[in-house]
Amino acid sequence: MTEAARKEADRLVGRAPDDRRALKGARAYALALEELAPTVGRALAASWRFGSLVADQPRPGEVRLDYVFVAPGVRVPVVLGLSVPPAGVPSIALACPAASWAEREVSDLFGVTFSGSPDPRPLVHHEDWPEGLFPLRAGVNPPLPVERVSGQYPFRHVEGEGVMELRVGPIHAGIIEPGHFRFTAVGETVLGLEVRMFYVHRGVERLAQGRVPAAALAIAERVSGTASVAHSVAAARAMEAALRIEVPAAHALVRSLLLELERLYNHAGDLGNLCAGTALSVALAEGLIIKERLLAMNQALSGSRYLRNLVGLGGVRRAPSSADLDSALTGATAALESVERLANGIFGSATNLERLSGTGLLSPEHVRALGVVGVVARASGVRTDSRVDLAFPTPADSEIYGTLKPATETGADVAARAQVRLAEARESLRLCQGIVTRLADTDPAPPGISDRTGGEGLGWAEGPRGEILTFVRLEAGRVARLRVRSPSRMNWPAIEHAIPGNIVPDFPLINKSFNLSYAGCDL
Amino acid sequence: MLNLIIDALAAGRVTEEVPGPRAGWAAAAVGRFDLASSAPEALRAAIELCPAEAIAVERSGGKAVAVIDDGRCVQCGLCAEGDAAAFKNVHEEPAMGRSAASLRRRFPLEGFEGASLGPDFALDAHDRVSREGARLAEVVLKRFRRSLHVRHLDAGGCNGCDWELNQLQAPQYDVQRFGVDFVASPRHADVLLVTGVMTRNLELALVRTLDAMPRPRLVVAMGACAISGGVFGTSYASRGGADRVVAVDGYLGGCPPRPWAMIRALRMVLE
Repeated sequence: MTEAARKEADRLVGRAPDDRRALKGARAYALALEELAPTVGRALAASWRFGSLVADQPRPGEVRLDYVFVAPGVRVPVVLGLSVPPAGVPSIALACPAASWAEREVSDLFGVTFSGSPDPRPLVHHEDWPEGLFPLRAGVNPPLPVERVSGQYPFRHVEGEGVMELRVGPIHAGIIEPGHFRFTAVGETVLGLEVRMFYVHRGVERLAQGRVPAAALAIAERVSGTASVAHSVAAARAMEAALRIEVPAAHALVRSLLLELERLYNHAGDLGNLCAGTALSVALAEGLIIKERLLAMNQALSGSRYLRNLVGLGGVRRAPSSADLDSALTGATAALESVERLANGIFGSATNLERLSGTGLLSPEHVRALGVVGVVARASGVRTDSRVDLAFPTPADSEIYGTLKPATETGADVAARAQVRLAEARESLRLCQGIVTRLADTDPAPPGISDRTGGEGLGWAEGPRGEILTFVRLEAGRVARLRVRSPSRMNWPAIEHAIPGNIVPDFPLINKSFNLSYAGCDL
Repeated sequence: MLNLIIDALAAGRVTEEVPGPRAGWAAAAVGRFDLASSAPEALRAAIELCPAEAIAVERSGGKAVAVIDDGRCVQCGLCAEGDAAAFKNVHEEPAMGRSAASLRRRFPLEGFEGASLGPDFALDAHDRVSREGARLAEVVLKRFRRSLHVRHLDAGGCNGCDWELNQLQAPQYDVQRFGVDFVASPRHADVLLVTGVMTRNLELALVRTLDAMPRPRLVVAMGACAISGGVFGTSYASRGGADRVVAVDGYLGGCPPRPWAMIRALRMVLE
């Protein structure tokens, strides 16, 4: 089936994969500039999902653009690559809205201009950024701090009788990350929402450049605090593909265990957190108790409450003892029992359920057009999960995940997203049990190694919020380019479409049901 | 709904006693790192691996000193990996103090030849301790002893510190029993608690938030990012620690700091 899908992809692009390109972990084709738009058109018609746009400068003077898609059945990302001078690339955002933010980002960071873009406004840079300064372009090192200029961001503007504008943020009322939201409302009902992000843009991709793999993985681990494992695994897999490192089964299994434990504590915490949006305080407190127990369990297993410092190049840096694994499993099992009781409370209370049902609807059409991933996509009935869509680099994982059926719901509302989280928490515990059993019969081995010091690769992982796609190019044993595509980057634009028609006070609830990471989006 | 309340009552009291400095620590828990080996190659390897530029060898007057800066350390443990590693995990919380410089821990090196290694911390002397806090210490103590209202601001971190702050409200910690309350508006706040690296795009928001706070007020930086920038350091997109932009009264290292350490740090700035 995979082979047939790959042949079909070759037919769609109209050629064999580019054998001069040393990109591993992907099926890469070389395109000419004028072939881009028609090829993307055919790809979208064949249900390819836009994944990422990777800009890179392996040679000065030109920018290489890799359009990364996930095509049904191909099991590795499909890459359409072009080498372009940094001007006049045709925008694909009109046909493929999922690519809009990605094009705007590449414009801001590399100075590539996209012709015919439906939204050419800056994205990463705010209004006081000097024009013509592209911080990821090779050789650009502005004096710090970068000067500020005066400017204004052209927000969308809505006019009409009785229309009010509500501006919220970047600093919000609770302990949460910064971002700016502009609502237009008539009375309590929202007509439209515009989100303005990138307040927490730290330049992560630039910071990883020049680092040795171990240090770059520590940075990747800090892209988004509660997806530390998923981000470091995706980056490690990209490096391992680039350097042709094989990860031994025991190491791959421990990584998968960590990924599922990360999903479990996130989903358990999110279910409790949702109750902050409906003022169900008893359940909120119960959710915090469960999450604290899981965080303490994480620390006992890994040394870190957020499961950091275990993922390394070629495997894991330390193997947990079988006693540690058993007590983690016992803790996870007890936590899930508490989650089930919590869920009975959340879904069993008519007044609470009334707030969740029919709130924050996101249609499957929006999910497909915007390339939405993770829990949010699955709760709108779109079955996309990189644990199923894409192949695992090691056979041990493929066996464990062979039985996985991604949970989906069709309600497309806050309640459906909560139901998907509950189902996935159950599934994560089941997978953990399988992994621990399997680990007992797997010989320990040192991490995989390689003599290579250069190459490029794509890696992926299904984090608690959805698919992460990471590109790495290494040169002389150091990172030359790291490109992270977090799930929140795909899902943030979608929330603008889940809010209209709801009342303003339901925004926090809908936002919590998306559980978007600002840090993961802004990088 | 009724079942939720019954479950909550059946759970009994889950709030934990105020712990001693090492309570609740598993043997594996990442903590702070002390010098384990003076071998130059081990120190060089540690400096190369450290993602946060937290390790240096300083030379002054013929003596060499290894420095590990808990205001930068992200507790990744790369410097403590392997039998010949330069550092070892001592399972203690990272340092806290009233200045960023006080978080740098020094270890004399015996028989170390050669030049300085790693980042030059002297170049990084930004550490702006708030004089306002020092002058008003007595007043502050009197006013805030029983009730401290905290306004949190994420200046651009990974969100890990924020989740730990959120956990302070879990019944196990129940931070409100210490008189600490997180408030929605800076106008109601006594303390501005900053997490995350100071990004370019939030500088103005931080300054305006502080301006909106009544005096006397205190600023506390928690986590490596808010102190030094952590792994994000200084770049086109960020300035490093919060004290590049505002004066800070208290610092707590960690990546992220654990909730009990956060509680102790809040008490420290009041004492």
